[in-house]
Amino acid sequence: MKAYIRSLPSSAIDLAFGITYGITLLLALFPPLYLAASGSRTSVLGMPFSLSYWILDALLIGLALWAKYAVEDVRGELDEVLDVAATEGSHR
Amino acid sequence: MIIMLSMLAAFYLVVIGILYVTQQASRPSFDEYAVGGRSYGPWYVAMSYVNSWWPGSTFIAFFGLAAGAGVFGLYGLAYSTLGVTFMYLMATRAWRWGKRFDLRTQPDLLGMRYRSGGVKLVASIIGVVSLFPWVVLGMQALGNLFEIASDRTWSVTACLLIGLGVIVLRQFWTVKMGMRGLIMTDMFQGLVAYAVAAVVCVVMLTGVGGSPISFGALSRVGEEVLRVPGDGGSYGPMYMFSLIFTGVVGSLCWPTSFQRIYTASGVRAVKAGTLRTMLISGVFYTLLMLVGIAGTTVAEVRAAPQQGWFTLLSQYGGTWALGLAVVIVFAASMGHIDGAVQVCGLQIANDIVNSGRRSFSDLQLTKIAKSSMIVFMALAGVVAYLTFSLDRLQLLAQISYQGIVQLGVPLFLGIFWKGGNKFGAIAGMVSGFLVAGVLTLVYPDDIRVLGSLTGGIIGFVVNLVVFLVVSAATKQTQEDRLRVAELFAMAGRRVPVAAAPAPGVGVAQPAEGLTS
Repeated sequence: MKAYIRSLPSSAIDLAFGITYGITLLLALFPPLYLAASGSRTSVLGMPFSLSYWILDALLIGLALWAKYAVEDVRGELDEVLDVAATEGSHR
Repeated sequence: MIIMLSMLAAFYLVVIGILYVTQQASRPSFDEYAVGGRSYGPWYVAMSYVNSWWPGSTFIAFFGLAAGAGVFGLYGLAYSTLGVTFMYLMATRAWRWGKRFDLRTQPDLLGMRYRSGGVKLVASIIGVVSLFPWVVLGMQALGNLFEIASDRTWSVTACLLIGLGVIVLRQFWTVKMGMRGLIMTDMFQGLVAYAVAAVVCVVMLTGVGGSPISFGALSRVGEEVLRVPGDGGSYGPMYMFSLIFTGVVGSLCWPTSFQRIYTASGVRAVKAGTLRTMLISGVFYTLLMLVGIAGTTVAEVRAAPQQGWFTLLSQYGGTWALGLAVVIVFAASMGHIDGAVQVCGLQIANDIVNSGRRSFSDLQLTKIAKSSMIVFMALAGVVAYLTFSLDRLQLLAQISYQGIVQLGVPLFLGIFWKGGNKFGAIAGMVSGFLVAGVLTLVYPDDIRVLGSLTGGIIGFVVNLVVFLVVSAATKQTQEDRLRVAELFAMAGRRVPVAAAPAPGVGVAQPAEGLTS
């Protein structure tokens, strides 16, 4: 799995995250969507859909961002490079 | 009264104790003073960000929104999660540029990106001016807290003066220690304000121990509670859009929030901190709003929604629970005021006074920052006292929100796009700020003929158009094009850093190919 993630082109990862982020932005910013959910009493997550709509939107972007972080971690894209000279100097 | 005041005193003493224990014996450099030496791990970054994002008024104004208007309150969940995502996306460039060019503030970054002292100055003034009303309101909110804690037996003036005294005394340490003092106490204040509050909400929603609300109440709320503005009522369909859009953009325009990027020890710390911020914010705010919405089934809460948090806790656990409610709001208020005072003092010293006409030493800049914080705080204290009974100050806070988002155009375009220049950035910010300010004065809430758009959105559009048109008309010089291209290339290269000074901070070991 890790080897597969490392082999993916950056553009594919950016596209997947971009689409997800776009969907969550649309859900929150496009009036026909949030007005369609407004007032709905259908039970989702144990509460009216009118409420869970916003919680699901937050959950979706939260999980997508967590996945992006995990992928970047596997690909070694998160860390800076250790400055050996500075580190040794700081320990003296 | 004695119980609640004792609880407040105990909390306050712990905060002062943390500051006393964690203060450094040696005099900090200006970099340490301004951004804590860029040494903090993700949990510190996250808690500091959350403190700067959810002030004490979250438990009053936002809670009141949920307890009064229902699902409307959840717009804060949407803009905070979507906005924090932007922080993640800009983390790499913002942090690496910050490290390489020793940037300490958001205007610092804008000034570097557009190579313009003017851009830096305008951005800094907008930031400081926009934060000022929030500090004043925060100080006044403390006065209200002491009214509750004293069982309303103390006069309003006495409560305000005590609130001011408490926060001014706290700022002695902010002025002395700078960012380090802030980060250390943000962890404790954040735990009390958001983690304890979340636990309290969960307990109440379970309905145990005679809780006045429960999770089941969410299915019994009134029809109007489930409708967002624009779905019937007096607001147009664009009102919810306006508030969420302004919030998403504003989440990184507030100087207090953006500066957290520079306190982090690396890109990993910013990104991991962002995930933690989203987790803390999402869980805490969702639970708070669910309690507020369930509270619409309680008559006393419906009668005074803004006092709903205190009403519910008081009904649930009497004086001790009310005392806990007051301490939670006190913790959130203190964290927000600390952050605002620190960043405003820093920006006045670093961006406004240190404008490049003459050079200042580290020591001089630190002294200027300290003096600026004292003046800023004293001014806010005087205004808080003089305007305690004025409603119009809330309007200033509204204008400031519509104004601060005008930093978004040069900030986002500057980080994600190589085009644009300093003329476009200055003209856009100034015109956007003025349009947003004037429109918000005329239409404090929304503009009905435009489907309930707000003045800030119109200002933002004007800002964007002016930025693009003026930049296109004045054009980037060849030298500037090359410089910006190099900046973007530089952001793709890893920055050499010393070994992680804080726990939980990832730093890669030296390896071939890492600096490509």
